Amino acid sequence: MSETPLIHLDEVVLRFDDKAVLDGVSFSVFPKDRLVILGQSGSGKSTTLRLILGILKPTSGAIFYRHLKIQKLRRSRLNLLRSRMGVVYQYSALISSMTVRENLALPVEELCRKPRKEIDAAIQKNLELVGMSGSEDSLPSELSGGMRKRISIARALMMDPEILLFDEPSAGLDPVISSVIDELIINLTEQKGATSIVVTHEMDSAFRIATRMAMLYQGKIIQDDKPEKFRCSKNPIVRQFVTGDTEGPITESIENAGSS
Amino acid sequence: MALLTGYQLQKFGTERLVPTLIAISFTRELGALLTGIVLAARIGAAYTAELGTMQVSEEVEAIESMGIGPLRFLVAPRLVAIALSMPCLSVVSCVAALIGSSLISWSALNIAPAAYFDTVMTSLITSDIVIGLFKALFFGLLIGLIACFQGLSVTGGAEGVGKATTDSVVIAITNVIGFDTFFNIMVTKITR
Repeated sequence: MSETPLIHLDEVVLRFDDKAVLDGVSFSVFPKDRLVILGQSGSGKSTTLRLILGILKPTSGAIFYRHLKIQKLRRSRLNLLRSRMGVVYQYSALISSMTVRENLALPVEELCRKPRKEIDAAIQKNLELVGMSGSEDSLPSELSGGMRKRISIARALMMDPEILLFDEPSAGLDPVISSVIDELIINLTEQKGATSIVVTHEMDSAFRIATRMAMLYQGKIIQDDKPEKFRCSKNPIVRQFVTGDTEGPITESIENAGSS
Repeated sequence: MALLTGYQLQKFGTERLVPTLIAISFTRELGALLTGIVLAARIGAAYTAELGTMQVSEEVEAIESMGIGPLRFLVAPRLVAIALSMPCLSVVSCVAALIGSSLISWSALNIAPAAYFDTVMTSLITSDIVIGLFKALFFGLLIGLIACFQGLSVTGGAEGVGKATTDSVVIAITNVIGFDTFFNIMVTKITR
């Protein structure tokens, strides 16, 4: 892997007051990777996505988008960079007062000067890609969780992003819809040639999607490898997380934290 | 106000001053102040609740992550809207106050509407109207800024939205009254 990484985190530390959420996290994401970041709830997975988006600034360390240091960018350049990233939030984060069409048109209307016809064609194309044609005039509140998630993916695709960030894409969805969303993520990233970072703690989804996996535990990346290496990992923490055993170092550490 | 002051002035035979009193106090002072209080409670609360809900449901962050500035997209249009509507609504409140008090003056103080409006027209001066409109514009901006700031600072879900909305109304009304007093002192000192 001698090519330049699309995203690179270098010894990133993030502290809120005295608590270190991330404590020296380093990893790289290369073009066309589908990196799944694993970790327990509250381990800093979504925070990592916020750091990549420049919404949070690290306490120390550096985050690069190709050669650009994200935390040093001026607001206008940061916004330009964000427009090249598509984000799908855990609870979809569609603008509730806008219809599906308005939600999808929003980034294009605000950031590019494209004719109405072109915007409408892009909306149609992306809704078709996620299997949601015909829902243009619906409000987000009229849609189910899975539908909202698909619309959110379509919105993320509107700017033809170089990189897609998914925050818990299967959270709150039934297993069938969850698999459909996973397939959608794989197909879309392959069709568009995009790179994706997926944050999840659901192992079935993770193994379906990933071309690479990284596990975040107590603020550090404890393993960064191919999915097959995760299945037979020798690290007891990774092994317990992958198998979902109730006994092991993760539960011991939770019990110790509780008793102290 | 017309009734209350009218009865007091009647004791001294000076109830004819009521139209002047109403005209000056509403154009310079009460029109903007009362409209400000109503708008802080109605529009300010609506802004805070809407932006607060957007904040807790990650909609604001989603807008930011698209590369759209939330200040430009969410705050600026609301500020322009409230700043422009405040002077217009202040004018409506002044006109309504003048019509209402003319009816009260007619029925309770025996001042004919024609005489009432004649006195109003001679008492009104341009500087009072301009000061009133300027204050309304300023109060609009103030209410909008406070409401948007409170909305975008919400944390902690539905409870946070409720608390921010209450805070927004209380802070906005207090500020409107405070700045109104400050304006009055300044204007009085300058025009004296």
